[in-house]
Amino acid sequence: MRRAVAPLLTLTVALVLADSAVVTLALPDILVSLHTTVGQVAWVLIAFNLVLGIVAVPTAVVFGRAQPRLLTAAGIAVFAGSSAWCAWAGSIEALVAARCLQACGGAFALIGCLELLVAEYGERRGVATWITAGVVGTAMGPVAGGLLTQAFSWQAIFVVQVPCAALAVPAALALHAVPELTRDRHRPALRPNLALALLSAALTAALFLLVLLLVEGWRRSPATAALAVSVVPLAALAARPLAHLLLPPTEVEIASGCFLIAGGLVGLAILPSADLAWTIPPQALVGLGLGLTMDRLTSSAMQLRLPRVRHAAWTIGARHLGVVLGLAILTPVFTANLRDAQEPAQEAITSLVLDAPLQPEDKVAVAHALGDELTSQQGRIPDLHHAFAALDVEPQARPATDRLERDLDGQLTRAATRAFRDSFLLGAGLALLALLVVVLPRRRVTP
Amino acid sequence: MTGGSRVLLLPSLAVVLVSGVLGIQLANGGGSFEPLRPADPCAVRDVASQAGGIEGLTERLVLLGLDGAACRLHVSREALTLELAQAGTPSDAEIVALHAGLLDAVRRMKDAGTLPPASAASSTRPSTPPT
Repeated sequence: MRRAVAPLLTLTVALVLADSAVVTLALPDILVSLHTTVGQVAWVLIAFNLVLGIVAVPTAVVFGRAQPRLLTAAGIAVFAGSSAWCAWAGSIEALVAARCLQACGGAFALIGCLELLVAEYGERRGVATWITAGVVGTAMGPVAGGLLTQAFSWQAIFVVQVPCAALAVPAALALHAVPELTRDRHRPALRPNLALALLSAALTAALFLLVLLLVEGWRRSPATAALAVSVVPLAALAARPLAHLLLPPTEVEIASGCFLIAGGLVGLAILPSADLAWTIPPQALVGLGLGLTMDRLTSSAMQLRLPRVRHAAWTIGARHLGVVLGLAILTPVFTANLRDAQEPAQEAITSLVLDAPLQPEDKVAVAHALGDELTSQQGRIPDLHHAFAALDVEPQARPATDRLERDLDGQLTRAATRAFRDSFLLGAGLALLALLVVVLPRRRVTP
Repeated sequence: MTGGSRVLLLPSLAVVLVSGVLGIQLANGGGSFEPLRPADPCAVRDVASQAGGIEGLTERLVLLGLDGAACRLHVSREALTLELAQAGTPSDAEIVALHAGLLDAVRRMKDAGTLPPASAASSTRPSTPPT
Protein backbone atom coordinates (compact mmCIF):
# COMPACT_ATOMS: atom_id res chain seq x y z
CA MET A 1 0.00 0.00 0.00
CA ARG A 2 2.77 2.39 0.95
CA ARG A 3 4.36 2.15 -2.53
CA ALA A 4 1.04 3.03 -4.17
CA VAL A 5 0.58 6.24 -2.19
CA ALA A 6 2.59 8.64 -4.37
CA PRO A 7 1.35 7.17 -7.70
CA LEU A 8 -2.25 7.54 -6.46
CA LEU A 9 -1.65 11.18 -5.58
CA THR A 10 0.05 11.74 -8.97
CA LEU A 11 -2.98 10.17 -10.67
CA THR A 12 -5.26 12.51 -8.69
CA VAL A 13 -3.34 15.56 -9.98
CA ALA A 14 -3.68 14.27 -13.56
CA LEU A 15 -7.40 13.54 -13.02
CA VAL A 16 -8.19 17.00 -11.67
CA LEU A 17 -6.33 18.77 -14.47
CA ALA A 18 -7.79 16.41 -17.10
CA ASP A 19 -11.22 17.54 -15.89
CA SER A 20 -10.44 20.95 -17.37
CA ALA A 21 -11.18 19.65 -20.87
CA VAL A 22 -12.43 16.10 -20.31
CA VAL A 23 -16.05 16.93 -21.20
CA THR A 24 -15.17 18.65 -24.50
CA LEU A 25 -16.09 15.62 -26.63
CA ALA A 26 -19.10 14.81 -24.46
CA LEU A 27 -20.76 18.23 -24.85
CA PRO A 28 -22.95 17.21 -27.85
CA ASP A 29 -24.20 14.15 -25.90
CA ILE A 30 -24.84 16.22 -22.76
CA LEU A 31 -26.72 18.76 -24.90
CA VAL A 32 -29.13 16.07 -26.09
CA SER A 33 -29.29 14.08 -22.85
CA LEU A 34 -30.11 17.03 -20.59
CA HIS A 35 -32.32 18.84 -23.15
CA THR A 36 -30.36 22.06 -22.90
CA THR A 37 -28.92 24.76 -25.16
CA VAL A 38 -25.45 25.26 -26.65
CA GLY A 39 -24.95 28.36 -24.48
CA GLN A 40 -25.83 26.48 -21.27
CA VAL A 41 -23.84 23.34 -22.06
CA ALA A 42 -20.68 25.42 -22.53
CA TRP A 43 -20.92 26.22 -18.79
CA VAL A 44 -20.11 22.58 -17.98
CA LEU A 45 -16.63 23.41 -19.30
CA ILE A 46 -16.43 27.06 -18.23
CA ALA A 47 -17.71 26.59 -14.64
CA PHE A 48 -14.99 24.09 -13.69
CA ASN A 49 -12.14 26.21 -15.08
CA LEU A 50 -13.51 29.48 -13.73
CA VAL A 51 -14.04 28.18 -10.17
CA LEU A 52 -10.68 26.34 -10.11
CA GLY A 53 -8.93 29.47 -11.40
CA ILE A 54 -10.57 31.67 -8.75
CA VAL A 55 -10.26 29.42 -5.68
CA ALA A 56 -6.69 28.16 -6.26
CA VAL A 57 -4.84 31.00 -4.46
CA PRO A 58 -7.27 31.28 -1.48
CA THR A 59 -6.97 27.48 -1.10
CA ALA A 60 -3.19 27.83 -0.87
CA VAL A 61 -3.64 30.42 1.91
CA VAL A 62 -5.76 27.92 3.88
CA PHE A 63 -3.04 25.27 3.43
CA GLY A 64 -0.59 27.47 5.31
CA ARG A 65 -2.76 27.16 8.43
CA ALA A 66 -3.78 23.49 8.67
CA GLN A 67 -2.61 19.92 8.32
CA PRO A 68 -2.03 19.32 4.57
CA ARG A 69 -2.98 15.62 4.72
CA LEU A 70 -6.40 16.34 6.24
CA LEU A 71 -7.20 19.16 3.82
CA THR A 72 -5.94 17.08 0.89
CA ALA A 73 -8.00 14.04 1.89
CA ALA A 74 -11.08 16.24 2.39
CA GLY A 75 -10.49 17.90 -1.01
CA ILE A 76 -10.11 14.56 -2.81
CA ALA A 77 -13.24 13.24 -1.06
CA VAL A 78 -15.24 16.30 -2.19
CA PHE A 79 -13.83 15.83 -5.71
CA ALA A 80 -14.89 12.15 -5.71
CA GLY A 81 -18.35 12.93 -4.31
CA SER A 82 -19.01 15.74 -6.75
CA SER A 83 -17.79 13.55 -9.64
CA ALA A 84 -20.49 11.05 -8.64
CA TRP A 85 -23.01 13.92 -8.49
CA CYS A 86 -21.94 14.98 -12.04
CA ALA A 87 -22.60 11.44 -13.29
CA TRP A 88 -26.09 11.35 -11.81
CA ALA A 89 -27.06 14.99 -12.49
CA GLY A 90 -30.52 15.07 -14.04
CA SER A 91 -30.45 18.66 -15.24
CA ILE A 92 -27.93 21.10 -16.66
CA GLU A 93 -28.23 23.29 -13.54
CA ALA A 94 -27.36 20.34 -11.29
CA LEU A 95 -24.44 19.36 -13.54
CA VAL A 96 -22.98 22.90 -13.53
CA ALA A 97 -23.39 23.11 -9.72
CA ALA A 98 -21.67 19.72 -9.34
CA ARG A 99 -18.83 20.90 -11.62
CA CYS A 100 -18.33 23.99 -9.41
CA LEU A 101 -18.09 21.79 -6.31
CA GLN A 102 -15.77 19.43 -8.19
CA ALA A 103 -13.47 22.39 -8.96
CA CYS A 104 -13.42 23.44 -5.26
CA GLY A 105 -12.49 19.91 -4.18
CA GLY A 106 -10.04 19.75 -7.08
CA ALA A 107 -8.26 22.92 -5.90
CA PHE A 108 -7.68 21.40 -2.42
CA ALA A 109 -6.60 18.11 -4.02
CA LEU A 110 -4.11 19.81 -6.37
CA ILE A 111 -2.46 22.03 -3.75
CA GLY A 112 -2.45 19.26 -1.17
CA CYS A 113 -0.97 16.66 -3.54
CA LEU A 114 1.92 19.05 -4.21
CA GLU A 115 2.69 19.27 -0.50
CA LEU A 116 2.39 15.51 0.00
CA LEU A 117 4.47 14.65 -3.09
CA VAL A 118 7.20 17.01 -1.87
CA ALA A 119 7.02 15.34 1.57
CA GLU A 120 7.33 11.91 -0.08
CA TYR A 121 9.84 12.57 -2.89
CA GLY A 122 11.68 15.70 -1.73
CA GLU A 123 11.41 19.23 -3.16
CA ARG A 124 12.88 18.75 -6.64
CA ARG A 125 11.34 15.39 -7.56
CA GLY A 126 8.05 16.15 -5.84
CA VAL A 127 7.52 19.42 -7.74
CA ALA A 128 8.64 17.83 -11.04
CA THR A 129 6.20 14.90 -10.58
CA TRP A 130 3.35 17.30 -9.76
CA ILE A 131 4.07 19.45 -12.85
CA THR A 132 4.44 16.48 -15.22
CA ALA A 133 1.21 14.88 -13.96
CA GLY A 134 -0.57 18.18 -14.63
CA VAL A 135 0.74 18.50 -18.19
CA VAL A 136 -0.09 14.86 -19.02
CA GLY A 137 -3.57 15.22 -17.47
CA THR A 138 -4.30 18.42 -19.39
CA ALA A 139 -3.23 16.88 -22.69
CA MET A 140 -4.98 13.53 -22.11
CA GLY A 141 -8.32 14.97 -20.93
CA PRO A 142 -10.12 15.27 -24.28
CA VAL A 143 -8.78 11.89 -25.48
CA ALA A 144 -9.98 10.03 -22.38
CA GLY A 145 -13.32 11.87 -22.39
CA GLY A 146 -13.95 11.06 -26.06
CA LEU A 147 -13.16 7.36 -25.69
CA LEU A 148 -15.34 6.97 -22.58
CA THR A 149 -18.24 8.85 -24.21
CA GLN A 150 -18.06 6.65 -27.31
CA ALA A 151 -17.60 3.37 -25.41
CA PHE A 152 -20.20 4.01 -22.69
CA SER A 153 -21.79 7.43 -22.19
CA TRP A 154 -20.88 10.93 -21.03
CA GLN A 155 -21.67 9.88 -17.46
CA ALA A 156 -18.84 7.32 -17.64
CA ILE A 157 -16.32 10.20 -17.68
CA PHE A 158 -17.31 11.07 -14.13
CA VAL A 159 -18.03 7.53 -12.91
CA VAL A 160 -14.44 6.34 -13.55
CA GLN A 161 -13.07 9.25 -11.52
CA VAL A 162 -14.91 8.20 -8.37
CA PRO A 163 -12.94 5.00 -7.47
CA CYS A 164 -9.61 6.55 -8.54
CA ALA A 165 -10.19 9.57 -6.30
CA ALA A 166 -11.70 7.47 -3.48
CA LEU A 167 -8.51 5.35 -3.36
CA ALA A 168 -6.43 8.52 -3.09
CA VAL A 169 -8.20 9.60 0.14
CA PRO A 170 -6.49 7.00 2.38
CA ALA A 171 -3.28 7.59 0.39
CA ALA A 172 -3.37 11.27 1.36
CA LEU A 173 -4.04 10.39 5.00
CA ALA A 174 -1.10 7.98 5.01
CA LEU A 175 1.46 10.72 4.33
CA HIS A 176 2.74 13.22 6.82
CA ALA A 177 3.55 16.75 5.76
CA VAL A 178 3.93 19.80 7.92
CA PRO A 179 2.15 23.04 6.93
CA GLU A 180 4.43 25.41 5.07
CA LEU A 181 4.57 28.28 7.54
CA THR A 182 6.80 30.50 5.39
CA ARG A 183 5.44 34.03 5.08
CA ASP A 184 4.62 35.47 1.70
CA ARG A 185 8.20 36.33 0.73
CA HIS A 186 7.99 36.65 -3.04
CA ARG A 187 5.59 38.29 -5.41
CA PRO A 188 3.94 36.07 -8.06
CA ALA A 189 6.11 35.62 -11.15
CA LEU A 190 4.30 37.83 -13.65
CA ARG A 191 5.85 36.73 -16.95
CA PRO A 192 5.59 32.94 -16.57
CA ASN A 193 2.05 33.18 -15.20
CA LEU A 194 0.95 35.56 -17.95
CA ALA A 195 2.54 33.32 -20.58
CA LEU A 196 0.83 30.29 -18.97
CA ALA A 197 -2.54 32.04 -19.17
CA LEU A 198 -2.05 33.03 -22.83
CA LEU A 199 -0.81 29.58 -23.84
CA SER A 200 -3.69 27.89 -22.01
CA ALA A 201 -6.07 30.11 -23.99
CA ALA A 202 -4.26 29.13 -27.21
CA LEU A 203 -4.28 25.43 -26.31
CA THR A 204 -8.01 25.69 -25.65
CA ALA A 205 -8.27 26.69 -29.29
CA ALA A 206 -6.22 23.70 -30.33
CA LEU A 207 -8.04 21.05 -28.31
CA PHE A 208 -11.57 22.43 -27.85
CA LEU A 209 -12.01 23.75 -31.39
CA LEU A 210 -10.32 20.79 -33.06
CA VAL A 211 -12.57 18.22 -31.37
CA LEU A 212 -15.58 20.40 -32.19
CA LEU A 213 -14.47 20.55 -35.84
CA LEU A 214 -13.97 16.79 -36.00
CA VAL A 215 -17.24 15.82 -34.28
CA GLU A 216 -19.64 18.56 -35.40
CA GLY A 217 -18.02 19.75 -38.63
CA TRP A 218 -16.62 16.54 -40.08
CA ARG A 219 -19.17 14.19 -38.44
CA ARG A 220 -16.52 11.91 -36.92
CA SER A 221 -17.40 9.78 -33.90
CA PRO A 222 -16.13 10.92 -30.47
CA ALA A 223 -13.80 7.88 -30.41
CA THR A 224 -12.29 8.78 -33.80
CA ALA A 225 -11.89 12.38 -32.67
CA ALA A 226 -10.32 11.22 -29.40
CA LEU A 227 -7.81 9.04 -31.26
CA ALA A 228 -7.06 11.88 -33.68
CA VAL A 229 -6.31 14.40 -30.92
CA SER A 230 -4.13 11.87 -29.06
CA VAL A 231 -1.35 13.15 -31.34
CA VAL A 232 -1.04 16.19 -29.03
CA PRO A 233 -0.15 14.28 -25.81
CA LEU A 234 2.06 11.84 -27.74
CA ALA A 235 4.03 14.70 -29.31
CA ALA A 236 4.19 16.42 -25.90
CA LEU A 237 5.93 13.31 -24.53
CA ALA A 238 8.51 13.55 -27.34
CA ALA A 239 9.35 17.14 -26.39
CA ARG A 240 11.32 16.25 -23.25
CA PRO A 241 13.88 13.94 -24.96
CA LEU A 242 14.28 16.58 -27.67
CA ALA A 243 15.02 19.26 -25.08
CA HIS A 244 17.49 16.93 -23.32
CA LEU A 245 19.24 16.34 -26.63
CA LEU A 246 19.56 20.00 -27.63
CA LEU A 247 19.95 21.47 -24.11
CA PRO A 248 18.54 24.92 -24.88
CA PRO A 249 18.39 27.65 -22.20
CA THR A 250 14.96 27.69 -20.49
CA GLU A 251 13.76 30.92 -22.14
CA VAL A 252 14.80 29.68 -25.60
CA GLU A 253 12.97 26.40 -24.98
CA ILE A 254 9.79 28.22 -23.93
CA ALA A 255 10.00 30.68 -26.84
CA SER A 256 10.49 27.81 -29.33
CA GLY A 257 7.50 26.01 -27.78
CA CYS A 258 5.29 29.11 -28.15
CA PHE A 259 6.35 29.40 -31.81
CA LEU A 260 5.57 25.71 -32.44
CA ILE A 261 2.09 26.09 -30.88
CA ALA A 262 1.41 29.20 -33.00
CA GLY A 263 2.65 27.37 -36.13
CA GLY A 264 0.50 24.34 -35.36
CA LEU A 265 -2.60 26.49 -34.92
CA VAL A 266 -1.95 28.26 -38.24
CA GLY A 267 -1.63 24.78 -39.75
CA LEU A 268 -5.04 23.81 -38.34
CA ALA A 269 -6.47 27.03 -39.82
CA ILE A 270 -5.31 26.14 -43.36
CA LEU A 271 -6.11 22.44 -43.64
CA PRO A 272 -6.10 21.36 -47.32
CA SER A 273 -8.96 18.86 -46.91
CA ALA A 274 -11.15 17.09 -44.36
CA ASP A 275 -8.81 14.10 -44.25
CA LEU A 276 -7.80 13.31 -40.64
CA ALA A 277 -4.21 12.74 -41.79
CA TRP A 278 -3.84 16.48 -42.50
CA THR A 279 -4.54 17.30 -38.84
CA ILE A 280 -1.62 15.17 -37.61
CA PRO A 281 1.41 17.40 -38.50
CA PRO A 282 -0.13 20.63 -37.07
CA GLN A 283 -1.19 18.72 -33.93
CA ALA A 284 2.34 17.33 -33.59
CA LEU A 285 3.65 20.91 -33.65
CA VAL A 286 1.13 21.93 -30.96
CA GLY A 287 2.03 18.88 -28.86
CA LEU A 288 5.77 19.54 -29.12
CA GLY A 289 5.13 23.15 -28.14
CA LEU A 290 2.97 22.06 -25.21
CA GLY A 291 5.71 19.73 -23.95
CA LEU A 292 8.35 22.45 -24.22
CA THR A 293 6.36 25.22 -22.56
CA MET A 294 3.84 24.26 -19.88
CA ASP A 295 6.13 22.43 -17.44
CA ARG A 296 9.01 24.90 -18.00
CA LEU A 297 6.73 27.89 -17.39
CA THR A 298 5.23 26.27 -14.28
CA SER A 299 8.75 25.56 -12.96
CA SER A 300 9.85 29.13 -13.73
CA ALA A 301 6.81 30.54 -11.91
CA MET A 302 7.57 28.44 -8.80
CA GLN A 303 11.37 28.38 -8.82
CA LEU A 304 12.97 29.86 -5.69
CA ARG A 305 9.66 31.43 -4.65
CA LEU A 306 8.14 30.94 -1.23
CA PRO A 307 5.73 29.81 -0.03
CA ARG A 308 5.73 27.05 -2.63
CA VAL A 309 2.00 26.26 -2.48
CA ARG A 310 1.06 29.90 -3.00
CA HIS A 311 3.11 30.12 -6.20
CA ALA A 312 1.87 26.73 -7.39
CA ALA A 313 -1.65 28.08 -6.86
CA TRP A 314 -0.87 31.12 -9.00
CA THR A 315 0.11 28.79 -11.87
CA ILE A 316 -3.16 26.84 -11.46
CA GLY A 317 -5.11 30.11 -11.43
CA ALA A 318 -3.26 31.41 -14.51
CA ARG A 319 -3.81 28.21 -16.48
CA HIS A 320 -7.50 27.82 -15.74
CA LEU A 321 -8.41 31.46 -16.07
CA GLY A 322 -6.46 31.29 -19.37
CA VAL A 323 -8.78 28.49 -20.51
CA VAL A 324 -11.80 30.66 -19.58
CA LEU A 325 -10.21 33.60 -21.44
CA GLY A 326 -9.69 31.37 -24.48
CA LEU A 327 -13.31 30.22 -24.42
CA ALA A 328 -14.56 33.78 -23.87
CA ILE A 329 -12.58 35.12 -26.85
CA LEU A 330 -12.87 32.22 -29.24
CA THR A 331 -16.48 31.06 -28.74
CA PRO A 332 -18.17 34.27 -30.02
CA VAL A 333 -15.78 34.46 -32.99
CA PHE A 334 -16.38 30.83 -33.85
CA THR A 335 -20.18 30.99 -33.48
CA ALA A 336 -20.35 34.19 -35.56
CA ASN A 337 -18.22 32.56 -38.28
CA LEU A 338 -20.42 29.47 -38.20
CA ARG A 339 -23.47 31.71 -38.69
CA ASP A 340 -21.74 33.52 -41.58
CA ALA A 341 -20.86 30.17 -43.15
CA GLN A 342 -24.53 29.29 -43.59
CA GLU A 343 -25.07 31.49 -46.65
CA PRO A 344 -22.17 30.21 -48.79
CA ALA A 345 -23.00 26.65 -47.71
CA GLN A 346 -26.66 27.05 -48.71
CA GLU A 347 -25.64 28.56 -52.05
CA ALA A 348 -23.20 25.72 -52.74
CA ILE A 349 -25.92 23.17 -51.88
CA THR A 350 -28.42 24.98 -54.14
CA SER A 351 -25.92 25.00 -56.98
CA LEU A 352 -25.31 21.26 -56.73
CA VAL A 353 -29.04 20.44 -56.50
CA LEU A 354 -29.89 22.64 -59.53
CA ASP A 355 -27.20 20.97 -61.64
CA ALA A 356 -27.70 17.43 -60.31
CA PRO A 357 -28.24 14.72 -62.96
CA LEU A 358 -31.75 13.92 -61.63
CA GLN A 359 -35.26 14.03 -63.01
CA PRO A 360 -36.90 17.44 -62.37
CA GLU A 361 -39.46 15.97 -59.94
CA ASP A 362 -36.63 14.28 -57.99
CA LYS A 363 -34.78 17.60 -57.76
CA VAL A 364 -37.91 19.23 -56.34
CA ALA A 365 -38.30 16.37 -53.83
CA VAL A 366 -34.62 16.70 -52.78
CA ALA A 367 -35.00 20.48 -52.42
CA HIS A 368 -38.11 20.07 -50.22
CA ALA A 369 -36.44 17.43 -48.02
CA LEU A 370 -33.28 19.51 -47.65
CA GLY A 371 -35.26 22.65 -46.85
CA ASP A 372 -37.16 20.83 -44.06
CA GLU A 373 -33.92 19.35 -42.66
CA LEU A 374 -32.05 22.66 -42.73
CA THR A 375 -34.94 24.41 -40.97
CA SER A 376 -35.13 21.75 -38.23
CA GLN A 377 -31.38 21.93 -37.51
CA GLN A 378 -31.05 25.70 -37.20
CA GLY A 379 -27.93 26.74 -35.28
CA ARG A 380 -26.07 23.47 -35.88
CA ILE A 381 -24.10 22.10 -38.81
CA PRO A 382 -26.88 20.07 -40.48
CA ASP A 383 -26.78 16.32 -41.00
CA LEU A 384 -28.36 15.82 -44.43
CA HIS A 385 -28.55 12.05 -44.22
CA HIS A 386 -32.12 12.06 -42.82
CA ALA A 387 -33.30 14.10 -45.81
CA PHE A 388 -31.84 11.61 -48.30
CA ALA A 389 -32.88 8.53 -46.30
CA ALA A 390 -36.52 9.70 -46.35
CA LEU A 391 -36.41 10.49 -50.08
CA ASP A 392 -38.85 8.56 -52.29
CA VAL A 393 -37.12 8.23 -55.69
CA GLU A 394 -36.98 5.59 -58.40
CA PRO A 395 -34.31 2.89 -57.80
CA GLN A 396 -32.42 3.97 -60.95
CA ALA A 397 -32.09 7.49 -59.51
CA ARG A 398 -30.46 6.20 -56.28
CA PRO A 399 -26.83 6.27 -57.50
CA ALA A 400 -27.28 9.93 -58.51
CA THR A 401 -28.92 10.89 -55.18
CA ASP A 402 -26.17 9.02 -53.28
CA ARG A 403 -23.52 10.96 -55.23
CA LEU A 404 -25.41 14.21 -54.58
CA GLU A 405 -25.53 13.42 -50.83
CA ARG A 406 -21.76 12.87 -50.80
CA ASP A 407 -21.15 16.11 -52.70
CA LEU A 408 -23.43 18.10 -50.39
CA ASP A 409 -21.72 16.63 -47.31
CA GLY A 410 -18.44 17.69 -48.89
CA GLN A 411 -19.71 21.27 -49.24
CA LEU A 412 -20.86 21.33 -45.59
CA THR A 413 -17.46 20.01 -44.49
CA ARG A 414 -15.76 22.77 -46.46
CA ALA A 415 -18.03 25.43 -44.96
CA ALA A 416 -17.48 24.12 -41.41
CA THR A 417 -13.69 23.96 -41.87
CA ARG A 418 -13.70 27.52 -43.19
CA ALA A 419 -15.81 28.64 -40.21
CA PHE A 420 -13.13 27.44 -37.74
CA ARG A 421 -10.28 29.25 -39.53
CA ASP A 422 -10.44 32.62 -37.74
CA SER A 423 -10.64 30.99 -34.30
CA PHE A 424 -7.53 28.90 -34.96
CA LEU A 425 -5.72 32.00 -36.23
CA LEU A 426 -6.81 33.90 -33.11
CA GLY A 427 -5.42 31.02 -31.03
CA ALA A 428 -2.12 31.34 -32.95
CA GLY A 429 -2.16 35.07 -32.13
CA LEU A 430 -2.50 34.25 -28.40
CA ALA A 431 0.50 31.87 -28.62
CA LEU A 432 2.54 34.59 -30.36
CA LEU A 433 1.53 37.02 -27.60
CA ALA A 434 2.87 34.50 -25.06
CA LEU A 435 6.10 34.35 -27.11
CA LEU A 436 6.32 38.13 -26.90
CA VAL A 437 5.84 38.03 -23.12
CA VAL A 438 8.73 35.55 -22.87
CA VAL A 439 11.23 37.25 -25.19
CA LEU A 440 10.63 40.93 -24.36
CA PRO A 441 13.76 42.30 -22.66
CA ARG A 442 13.53 42.68 -18.89
CA ARG A 443 13.59 46.14 -17.33
CA ARG A 444 17.05 46.80 -15.88
CA VAL A 445 17.07 47.32 -12.15
CA THR A 446 19.46 50.14 -11.28
CA PRO A 447 21.16 49.87 -7.90
CA MET B 1 27.76 21.62 -27.48
CA THR B 2 28.73 25.33 -27.52
CA GLY B 3 26.62 28.05 -25.96
CA GLY B 4 25.74 29.53 -29.35
CA SER B 5 24.53 26.27 -30.82
CA ARG B 6 22.52 25.56 -27.65
CA VAL B 7 20.72 28.86 -28.19
CA LEU B 8 20.16 28.44 -31.92
CA LEU B 9 19.47 24.73 -32.48
CA LEU B 10 15.94 24.42 -31.04
CA PRO B 11 14.59 27.71 -32.53
CA SER B 12 16.07 26.74 -35.93
CA LEU B 13 14.44 23.32 -35.71
CA ALA B 14 11.12 24.94 -34.73
CA VAL B 15 11.29 27.31 -37.73
CA VAL B 16 12.12 24.42 -40.10
CA LEU B 17 9.28 22.26 -38.74
CA VAL B 18 6.67 25.04 -38.88
CA SER B 19 7.79 26.19 -42.37
CA GLY B 20 7.77 22.59 -43.60
CA VAL B 21 4.27 21.81 -42.33
CA LEU B 22 2.75 25.11 -43.51
CA GLY B 23 4.58 24.91 -46.88
CA ILE B 24 3.29 21.39 -47.58
CA GLN B 25 -0.24 22.38 -46.56
CA LEU B 26 -0.24 25.48 -48.79
CA ALA B 27 1.20 23.49 -51.71
CA ASN B 28 -1.72 21.05 -51.37
CA GLY B 29 -4.43 23.68 -51.40
CA GLY B 30 -4.39 24.73 -47.75
CA GLY B 31 -6.30 27.98 -47.28
CA SER B 32 -8.56 27.38 -50.27
CA PHE B 33 -10.61 24.49 -48.82
CA GLU B 34 -13.85 26.42 -49.01
CA PRO B 35 -17.40 25.84 -50.27
CA LEU B 36 -18.09 26.02 -53.99
CA ARG B 37 -18.43 29.62 -55.14
CA PRO B 38 -21.54 30.39 -57.24
CA ALA B 39 -20.78 30.83 -60.94
CA ASP B 40 -21.29 34.17 -62.70
CA PRO B 41 -24.95 34.08 -63.87
CA CYS B 42 -24.12 36.44 -66.76
CA ALA B 43 -21.62 33.98 -68.25
CA VAL B 44 -23.08 31.60 -70.83
CA ARG B 45 -23.36 28.05 -69.55
CA ASP B 46 -24.74 24.85 -71.01
CA VAL B 47 -27.69 23.32 -69.22
CA ALA B 48 -28.89 19.77 -69.57
CA SER B 49 -31.83 17.78 -68.29
CA GLN B 50 -32.22 14.10 -67.51
CA ALA B 51 -35.88 14.32 -68.53
CA GLY B 52 -37.16 14.24 -72.09
CA GLY B 53 -40.19 15.92 -73.67
CA ILE B 54 -41.95 18.89 -72.16
CA GLU B 55 -40.44 18.30 -68.68
CA GLY B 56 -36.88 18.42 -69.95
CA LEU B 57 -37.67 21.48 -72.07
CA THR B 58 -39.23 23.25 -69.07
CA GLU B 59 -36.27 22.44 -66.83
CA ARG B 60 -33.75 23.80 -69.35
CA LEU B 61 -35.87 26.93 -69.81
CA VAL B 62 -36.16 27.50 -66.07
CA LEU B 63 -32.41 27.01 -65.50
CA LEU B 64 -31.48 29.41 -68.32
CA GLY B 65 -34.22 31.82 -67.22
CA LEU B 66 -32.88 31.81 -63.65
CA ASP B 67 -29.42 32.69 -64.96
CA GLY B 68 -30.83 35.58 -66.99
CA ALA B 69 -32.93 36.90 -64.09
CA ALA B 70 -30.04 36.62 -61.61
CA CYS B 71 -27.76 38.44 -64.08
CA ARG B 72 -30.28 41.30 -64.32
CA LEU B 73 -30.66 41.49 -60.54
CA HIS B 74 -26.84 41.34 -59.99
CA VAL B 75 -27.13 38.34 -57.68
CA SER B 76 -26.06 34.73 -58.09
CA ARG B 77 -28.44 32.16 -59.53
CA GLU B 78 -28.28 30.31 -56.19
CA ALA B 79 -29.07 33.42 -54.11
CA LEU B 80 -32.10 34.16 -56.32
CA THR B 81 -33.32 30.54 -56.06
CA LEU B 82 -33.05 30.62 -52.25
CA GLU B 83 -34.75 34.02 -52.14
CA LEU B 84 -37.65 32.75 -54.30
CA ALA B 85 -37.90 29.55 -52.23
CA GLN B 86 -37.79 31.23 -48.83
CA ALA B 87 -39.67 34.51 -49.36
CA GLY B 88 -43.47 34.44 -49.58
CA THR B 89 -44.19 36.61 -52.63
CA PRO B 90 -41.56 37.62 -55.19
CA SER B 91 -40.91 41.34 -55.53
CA ASP B 92 -41.87 43.30 -58.68
CA ALA B 93 -38.20 43.53 -59.67
CA GLU B 94 -37.86 39.76 -59.37
CA ILE B 95 -40.99 39.16 -61.49
CA VAL B 96 -39.77 41.50 -64.24
CA ALA B 97 -36.28 39.97 -64.16
CA LEU B 98 -37.68 36.42 -64.28
CA HIS B 99 -39.94 37.30 -67.22
CA ALA B 100 -37.06 38.87 -69.12
CA GLY B 101 -34.78 35.98 -68.20
CA LEU B 102 -37.25 33.41 -69.50
CA LEU B 103 -37.66 35.32 -72.77
CA ASP B 104 -33.86 35.37 -73.12
CA ALA B 105 -33.81 31.63 -72.47
CA VAL B 106 -36.39 31.00 -75.19
CA ARG B 107 -34.38 33.16 -77.60
CA ARG B 108 -31.15 31.37 -76.74
CA MET B 109 -32.67 27.93 -77.17
CA LYS B 110 -34.26 28.96 -80.45
CA ASP B 111 -30.89 30.22 -81.72
CA ALA B 112 -29.27 26.98 -80.62
CA GLY B 113 -31.99 24.98 -82.40
CA THR B 114 -32.97 23.16 -79.19
CA LEU B 115 -36.52 24.49 -79.11
CA PRO B 116 -39.23 22.29 -80.67
CA PRO B 117 -40.73 23.91 -83.84
CA ALA B 118 -44.12 24.67 -82.24
CA SER B 119 -42.52 26.44 -79.27
CA ALA B 120 -40.10 28.29 -81.54
CA ALA B 121 -43.00 29.63 -83.61
CA SER B 122 -44.99 30.77 -80.57
CA SER B 123 -41.91 32.43 -79.06
CA THR B 124 -41.85 34.94 -81.89
CA ARG B 125 -45.25 36.35 -80.81
CA PRO B 126 -45.06 39.44 -78.59
CA SER B 127 -45.68 38.91 -74.88
CA THR B 128 -46.32 41.16 -71.89
CA PRO B 129 -44.97 40.64 -68.39
CA PRO B 130 -47.51 39.33 -65.84
CA THR B 131 -49.02 41.87 -63.52
